[in-house]
Amino acid sequence: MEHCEDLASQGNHQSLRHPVTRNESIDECQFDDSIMTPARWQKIESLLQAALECKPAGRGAFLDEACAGDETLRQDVESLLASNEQVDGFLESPALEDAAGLLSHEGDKSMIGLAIGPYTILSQLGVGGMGEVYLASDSRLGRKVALKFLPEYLTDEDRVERFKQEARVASALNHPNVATIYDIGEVGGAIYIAMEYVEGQTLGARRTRQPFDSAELVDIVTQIASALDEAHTRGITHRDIKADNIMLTERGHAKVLDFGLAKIRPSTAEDALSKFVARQTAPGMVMGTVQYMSPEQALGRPLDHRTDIFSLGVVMYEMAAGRLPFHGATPSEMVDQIVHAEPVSIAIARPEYYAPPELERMIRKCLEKEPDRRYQSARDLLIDLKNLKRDTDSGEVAWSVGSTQRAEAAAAVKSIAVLPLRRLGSDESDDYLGVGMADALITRLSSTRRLMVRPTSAVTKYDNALQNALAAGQELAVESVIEGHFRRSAGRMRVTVQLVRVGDGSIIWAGKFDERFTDIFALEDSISEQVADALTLSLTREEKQLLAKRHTENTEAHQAYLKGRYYWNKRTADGLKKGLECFQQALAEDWNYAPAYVGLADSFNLLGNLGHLPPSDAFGRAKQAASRALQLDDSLAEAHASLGYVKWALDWDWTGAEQEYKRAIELDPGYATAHQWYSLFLAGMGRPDEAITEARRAQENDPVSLTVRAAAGMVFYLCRAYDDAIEQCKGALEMDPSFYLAHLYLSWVYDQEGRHEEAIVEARAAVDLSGGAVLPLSSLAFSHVLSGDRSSAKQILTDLDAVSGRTYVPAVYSAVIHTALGETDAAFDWLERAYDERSNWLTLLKVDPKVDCLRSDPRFQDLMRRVGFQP
Amino acid sequence: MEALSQKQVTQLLLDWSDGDNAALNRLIPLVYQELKRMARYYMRLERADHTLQTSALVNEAYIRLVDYKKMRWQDRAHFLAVAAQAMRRILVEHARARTRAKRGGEARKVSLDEAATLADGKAADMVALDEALNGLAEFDPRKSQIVELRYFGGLNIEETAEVIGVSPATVKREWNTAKIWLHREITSPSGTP
Repeated sequence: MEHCEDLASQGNHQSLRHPVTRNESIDECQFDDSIMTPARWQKIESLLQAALECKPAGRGAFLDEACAGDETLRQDVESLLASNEQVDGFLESPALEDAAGLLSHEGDKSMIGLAIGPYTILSQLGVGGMGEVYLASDSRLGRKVALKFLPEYLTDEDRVERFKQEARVASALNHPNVATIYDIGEVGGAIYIAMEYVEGQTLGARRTRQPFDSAELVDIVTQIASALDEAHTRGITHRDIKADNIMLTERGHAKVLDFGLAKIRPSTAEDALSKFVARQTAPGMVMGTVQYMSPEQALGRPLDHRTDIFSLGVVMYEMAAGRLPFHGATPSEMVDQIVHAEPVSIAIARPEYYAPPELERMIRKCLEKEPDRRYQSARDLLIDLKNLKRDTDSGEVAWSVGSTQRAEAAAAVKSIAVLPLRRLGSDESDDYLGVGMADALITRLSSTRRLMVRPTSAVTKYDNALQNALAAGQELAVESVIEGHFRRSAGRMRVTVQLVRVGDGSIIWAGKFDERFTDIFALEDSISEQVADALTLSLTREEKQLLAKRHTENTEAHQAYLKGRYYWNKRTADGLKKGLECFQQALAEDWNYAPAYVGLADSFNLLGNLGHLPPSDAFGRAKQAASRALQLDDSLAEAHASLGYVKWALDWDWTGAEQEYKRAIELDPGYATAHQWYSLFLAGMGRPDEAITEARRAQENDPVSLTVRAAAGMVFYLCRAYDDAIEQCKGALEMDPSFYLAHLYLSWVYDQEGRHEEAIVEARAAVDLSGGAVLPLSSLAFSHVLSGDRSSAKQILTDLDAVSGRTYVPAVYSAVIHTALGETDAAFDWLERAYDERSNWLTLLKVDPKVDCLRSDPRFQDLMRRVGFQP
Repeated sequence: MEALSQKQVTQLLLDWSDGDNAALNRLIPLVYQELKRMARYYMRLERADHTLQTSALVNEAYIRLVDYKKMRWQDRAHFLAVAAQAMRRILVEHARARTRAKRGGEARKVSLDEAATLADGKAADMVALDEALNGLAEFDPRKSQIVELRYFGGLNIEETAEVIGVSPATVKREWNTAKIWLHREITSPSGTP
């Protein structure tokens, strides 16, 4: 390279030495190379082209020959060849780009040094959509001022006058956190404002450089709120509070700039857009202005001082989360977000940072869409800020938490409950939708298998407008709760949901959805996906598919299904029958809708289990439905559990039942009912340890379910762990003293413990609460016998016999009473009938303490063998 | 831009396309003025987050300055040529002002950071390039114009070919040669007279 440069410079020196003469002759050009002529250039150019086409190694020889001793020519070409080696990148970027750095750096020269009234312009400080700002010195007072020139487009006389008026009012603001306006003037048609020059950086610049911690944030925001309080008291609204309008000095002093400029600001997003577009402002500038707008401002509605409170909320969120609360690719998208969206929780936005819940609550209060729901004054906010500072200074509240806690705060939401969505409309017939949507979300979220999702049965009781989500979350022992409401109107479904952390009440995520009612699937898709996102589950592709999985495209069918689940979860005879109808209706709409078959199976199973239908009838139909569901979708946990139940209760197919239960649990480990039924199976099989484990798992997954709790009581009873059984039953009764099954099971336990009087009390309660159902009635008779009151027992037997003409009375109930009475033959007669009925109770034959006195009888051994137990 | 100017520019452009060379002389200042305004704005506002798009700027100026409904398709090429020339003047004037300021040692605070130094170098480069381009125009005006269109006007090979009326291959070759020559002229330590 050095060599080439030598050549190049030599060539140039030569051209410098020669006087300028004109000679157009090609022949003569080799003698006169002082100036480039078109002809000489042509020659050089063609030689250059030819040399470039040669391989570098051959160029020397080529030039030797081509230049034929014309050294000047040769040097010229060689220097160009050398230049060619360095030309990469030269002039590659457009001139404007090259010039950008240089121009942007010097400000507008034309202004520097100019005297504007008493001010001499020193340098440019910045330029924005609102005009250009210069640093100037005030010769009278010897102080530095910031001179802001209004944009040229501000030519409307009226507006100028209004602006001046407002600026004069603002100039009366005298507050340590407000950059004071000194002067308003006009020069050569340009209007300027002289204001206090604040040395430092804008809050926006500082945020980019280094994020804020909570203490600093509160300190700075307190200063800003104090400035706003002063201004608002004087009737001045800023209207453009944003990170770039707040200066921070090196010592952490905050000053709000540009008070009194409200009149020249675009008043709405649309205004901002049209104005800036008309003036060729960069799109970024429009966004910069819209980003901090309050909803009322963005929509062009009347404003008051509370618009500043919203904008300050945006600044606070930005400081805490490290990013803006609302995002949009275009100004109109942005406006949509401001008006509709809830910002994600700070813990999600900035996981490495811990925001005290109180601070996050304050930010959210500033960001309320409705001005009436915000802080009503900057002073109110100021008070909260000061209280927070006091509480943290005194150690009552932590500014930050240890890294482990922080990691937990950000990531560990593993258990979740979806509460029934609350109806906002007046149409009560829409109630099922609230539970239905929750049920759909539960199913979808469970399918990812990453979350412990409380089952629908556990959450239906929170179907109440007054329900406190946090209390529900605590009761359900979950880390987070999804709650929300919906409104159905004019064929549209509007849903608002939020994901709340139970521990501190912070909102992890919130979303609003608005879909045509027929697109209820899309609604469920969006919500479940976004919840998964908000919980930062990094889902695999397969999991995502599962999340979005749906079994029908028929909205009618889906709605009927949702309705069916709503009734089914009531678990009363009436509810179960209504549910049954709904599932059948769903299947009428879509014959291949697997979950509706499961609903059908579950309905029949419960009807059979509670003695409302004869076993072979109920379980037989349940079996058909469950099998059909599995044909359609083998991956439905509920279908496997239903089928397991049938194989156990009706088929006495122990191996088959256990396989189905295990498969169900494998498919959905969080499905409490599967654990519950499996534990009952294990207890019946005489495997108490495993049974108790499963009963506990069912409870872990559904801690507030009465059914699960009471069933655990029964399992403990079958395993003869009576103390535990009593505890479970009493636990269930604490939740709901009117739950007859818990009373019933409790009476069984008391009988085994010899506490017959108490057993009678419980059995009687069960009879009363169930409306005289045959199962508790037979239990009461059993307790009477054991307490010595045989006549009462006999009376009940007679009554049962009478009832059996009208309703189904399981034979096994009579068998048990005869057993207690010591009428062994009659007992075995009834057991035979129970066998013929294929009574599901026979699955407990091996362990139920009630028939202990029959066990030594050969007929019992025989029965055991026939039912499928090794005697 | 006022509607009046748009009408003016449109008419001047049409006149010039029809062979009225005087129209060009009146056209250039108008284009120059508007481009300068736009360029200043863009350069200061967008430097942080946007790559500057000269061609976007020029095209925008065209839309703003010219009633394109009255234009023939090939008139755009004429405008682009004018715009490129205007851009060159704007940028070089700016750069010249900066180098003068340096030499004059104005009593203003000169920032010494890297960006400023780099900018000073660029300003000098831009002035040198302008002078070299003038030199090139002396014996090969077409190559000089190609550089003007490509570098200052932000035009691509095809647009440049359209404006000059040669094949894109020719533009490509001549653009290369011009760059080689200009690079040598600018990087030679002694510079040009």
